[in-house]
Amino acid sequence: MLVWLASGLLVGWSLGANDAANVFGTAVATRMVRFGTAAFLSTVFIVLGGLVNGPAAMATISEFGRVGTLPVAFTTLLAAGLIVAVMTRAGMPVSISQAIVGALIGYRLFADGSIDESTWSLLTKIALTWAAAPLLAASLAVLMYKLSAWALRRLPMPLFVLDRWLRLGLVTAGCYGAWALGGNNMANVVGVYSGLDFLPAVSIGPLELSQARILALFGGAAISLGVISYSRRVILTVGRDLVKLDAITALIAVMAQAVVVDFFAHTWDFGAFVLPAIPVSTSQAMVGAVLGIGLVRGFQEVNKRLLGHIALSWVATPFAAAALTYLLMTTQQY
Amino acid sequence: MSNVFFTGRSGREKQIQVKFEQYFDALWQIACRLREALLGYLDQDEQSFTDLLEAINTLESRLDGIRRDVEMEIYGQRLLPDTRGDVLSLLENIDKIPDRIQSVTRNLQLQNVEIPSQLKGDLRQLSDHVVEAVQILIKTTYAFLNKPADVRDLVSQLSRLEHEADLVEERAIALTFNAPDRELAHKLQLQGLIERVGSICDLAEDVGDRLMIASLKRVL
Repeated sequence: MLVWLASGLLVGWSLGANDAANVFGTAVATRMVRFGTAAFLSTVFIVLGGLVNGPAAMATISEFGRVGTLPVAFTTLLAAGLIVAVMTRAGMPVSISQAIVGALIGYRLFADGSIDESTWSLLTKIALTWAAAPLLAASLAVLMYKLSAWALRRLPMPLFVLDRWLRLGLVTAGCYGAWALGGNNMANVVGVYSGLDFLPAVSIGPLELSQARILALFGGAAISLGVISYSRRVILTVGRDLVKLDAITALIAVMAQAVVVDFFAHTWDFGAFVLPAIPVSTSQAMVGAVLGIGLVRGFQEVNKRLLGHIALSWVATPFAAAALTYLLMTTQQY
Repeated sequence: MSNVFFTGRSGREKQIQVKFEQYFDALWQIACRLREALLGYLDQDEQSFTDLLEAINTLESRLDGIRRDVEMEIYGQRLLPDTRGDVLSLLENIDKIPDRIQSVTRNLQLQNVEIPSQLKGDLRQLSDHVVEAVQILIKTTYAFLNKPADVRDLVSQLSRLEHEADLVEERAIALTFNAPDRELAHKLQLQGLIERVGSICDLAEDVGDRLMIASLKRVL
């Protein structure tokens, strides 16, 4: 059985290696926290976020994919993991969330020959969410920037006091970002398994762990492995890029990204419209936040190539993952 | 200079506070000693000039020592790279002022420049501008450390003062060269002295400009 979870381990590892940079990059690059401390804090908060909030988005992925067996779950995650690895290696922008959804579309096309109405409906919500995440992060970053500017004018802070608050803020935002990442993106790692009934609930004293939470623990371990083994370089690269923004705006970007990612980790019932918890790309939310700050500052810091990269990722990743899953399914003859 | 900066600090920050206050106190003193030394020189009060020269040398060494202490403290603190960079750059640039003050008085002593009476008024005025520029620069630095929104106004004052000093400098140089019976070497010697004194206001304005750029990051 553990063999079938191996591709989940691969995706989790990849997520930990790449996405921890978005939440702790700034704090590490500014030497506010050592890499070891950042790895420890992000691991703890990713696992906690996954355990507490993870099951919601996991249910969405499970409902979307309707994966019936462990080998199918293994194959879809393997396809998504391979696409992420190949595209990352080729220097292409890639979102794990988009690869997973693409792989599941490939599976549904293989299984049903077409996409049914309810899947389309959910896919529309997912696609809208992907578009909304960077836009919301941008808007939130603008709002937070304006509020910070107003507050700093009203309550001027001595340099060293501001420095201390900013350093504390960067660590807090890192922990919150890790919590949001765990809650939202755990679905990418173990969501496809969550519809399968293959793990018995475990009781630890008064605490009962459902299958979804056991899967979240497993996913958390996989993500942590990625954080510990491979994220150092990514953290430093992303962190240095973010620090170029300066500490206040970097903090705003991390916080805006984390709020948006956390928002989409929950199911929202707006009466006529229910928005399920949907895994989103933390990197794209981060780019959105940075673009928002660039807009307030008059476009000087907006890298228009990044916009092209996001658009390319939206199209290329799901298509490539869908195609590879379909191909693997055909060759495996499930 | 009252103690308004670094309110609510940790122990190490308080140490930096004390050092900064010592630094600005010594900077203020060295600017005042320069004016007194120049006046002594113009009045041909040799003893007073020699005493003040010694005081300036002592103050310059003290300023170097305090600057090094602050730098060590800053390196020892866990600060954001931006903050560390801004404070170290502030110290490095502001430290050019005592160096220049020392070089002005040292050159006066070494060259024993003969100053014509018609230039004395302008040199007195220039030395007043130097003292005022250093005073505003200290206020600007306090604002930078505590209330960055005030930096812009103070830098405007520095710019205005530097412009006034430029006018005095130009007038004095014109007077220097408008004396047909004065030797060219003497004219050039006087021009060098006038420009060196005036350049202290330029340095203060440069530091102010840098502080304004650094403070903009904190007012968003």
